[in-house]
Amino acid sequence: MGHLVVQLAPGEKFYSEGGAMSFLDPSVEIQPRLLGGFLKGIGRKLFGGESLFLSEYTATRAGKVGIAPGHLGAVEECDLKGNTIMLTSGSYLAHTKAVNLSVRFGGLRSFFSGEGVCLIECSGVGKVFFNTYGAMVCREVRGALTVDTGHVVAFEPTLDYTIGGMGGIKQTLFSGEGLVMKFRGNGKIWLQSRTVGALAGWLRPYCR
Amino acid sequence: MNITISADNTFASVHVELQPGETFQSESSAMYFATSNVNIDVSTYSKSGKQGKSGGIMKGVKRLFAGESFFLSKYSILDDQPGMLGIAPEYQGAIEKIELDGQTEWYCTGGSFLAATSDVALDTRFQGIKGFFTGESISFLKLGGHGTVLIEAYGQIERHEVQDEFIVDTGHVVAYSEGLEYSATKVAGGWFKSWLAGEGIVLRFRGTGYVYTQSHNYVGFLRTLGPMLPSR
Repeated sequence: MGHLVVQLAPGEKFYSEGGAMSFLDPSVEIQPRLLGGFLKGIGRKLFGGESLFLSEYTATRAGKVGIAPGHLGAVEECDLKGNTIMLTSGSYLAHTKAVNLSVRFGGLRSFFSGEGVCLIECSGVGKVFFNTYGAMVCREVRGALTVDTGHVVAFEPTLDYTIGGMGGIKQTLFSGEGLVMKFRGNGKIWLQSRTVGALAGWLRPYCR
Repeated sequence: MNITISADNTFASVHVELQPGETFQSESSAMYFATSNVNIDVSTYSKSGKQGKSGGIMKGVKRLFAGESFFLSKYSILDDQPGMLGIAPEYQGAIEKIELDGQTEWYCTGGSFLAATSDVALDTRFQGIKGFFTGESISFLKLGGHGTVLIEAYGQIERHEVQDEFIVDTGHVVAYSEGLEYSATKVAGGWFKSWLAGEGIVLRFRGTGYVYTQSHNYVGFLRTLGPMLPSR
C-alpha cells in the first residue's frame, strides 16, 4: 500500500498535505502552512472549495518523515522539469520545495465531476506525489477519452474536459454511470480503479 | 477482443479491447473509462435474439434477488477503430476469468458477477429455502453459453477442484460449476443457535467440479461497520 518515507538532509524542506504525517524523527520540524495565504484560504472555504492546509517539514539535522495518504491505494511520483500537472483535490499528497502549487477553480462543470470543485496546478522543478484510492492506471490520451466521475486523479494540462452523460437520456439515467468526464486533447491521464463514492454506495444498505 | 486483468490484485480492474463489431456486457456502473468510440447501451435485454435469454423486466427483478444490478450495460464500438474500456468493481479485491465452453454452466453468488462477453447468457436460479440460511443471496446468477466471464471477489480468489466433497464457509463462495450441488450444514453448536446467527453454517459441496472462493467475507465486516456510521 503506497506511502512515502522521506529522508531529509540538514536544512532540507519538504511539504505534504496537512495530517498526512505518520512518523517523524525528532530532528525534523513540522509547521502548518496554508496554501495561498490566510485570506485566500478563507475565501476558498466560503466558496465551497478546498483550503489547502500543508505541513512544512524542515530538517534541522538529517532525519526522516513518513507520509501516508488517507486511502488504501498507490502513490505516484511525478518529476516536474518546468512542466505542469493538474491534480484533483483529494489526490495531492506531497511535494518538494521548488514546486509551485496553486489552487484552480474547476469551473461550474466541476460541481458535477465528482472530483471536488478545485484542481491543484503543480508546476516548477521538483517532485510532486499524488495518491489514489485503489490501483493507479495511467493512460495516454490521443484525441479523446471518457472517464467515469470520481476516477480521475491527475492529468496533463494539454487535456481539457467537459461533463456529459454517456449517450442519450436513457443511458445517462440507467447505465449506472451517471455523468462522465469527456477528456479532449493529447496527454497523460492518471486514473484510480476505485472511488470512495462507490464504496459508500456499497456500505449504504448496511447503515441504519 | 482482448481481456486483461490488471496486475494489481487488491484493487483489480479489467481492460477490454474491442474491435469494431464486437460487443461486451457488464453489470451497470462498472465502466470507469472508455475511449470515445465506445457506446453504452443499457437494458434488461428484452430484445429478441441471443440477448433475449437475459432479458425482460422479470429477469431484471430476479437479478436483484441475485444481488446483481437490474440493468446490464452493453458496450459496442461506434466507428471502425478498436476501442478500449476499463471495468472496475465497487469494493476491494481481485478479479478472475472463467472460460465457458458452452457445455458447463456456472453459478455466481450474489454480487460476484462483474462482466462477460456478449454470448454468455445470464439467468438466475432460486436457491430454495436453504437460500435463506446460507448467508449468500437468495438467488444465484446462472451463466451459460460460450465465452468469458469475469467474477469479482472481496479479497483474493482461489480456485478449488472438487472431486467428491468440499466445505466452504458462508460468505466465501464466489462461483461454482454445475457438476456440484451444495447443502447448508452446521459446523458446530445447536441448530437453533446456528439458524439465528447465520454462524456455524457452512456450505458442503458434493460432486465434481470447481469452486471459486474469496479470502474475505464482507458481510461480517459491513455489519460491524454499518451501525458505526451516522444514520442517513
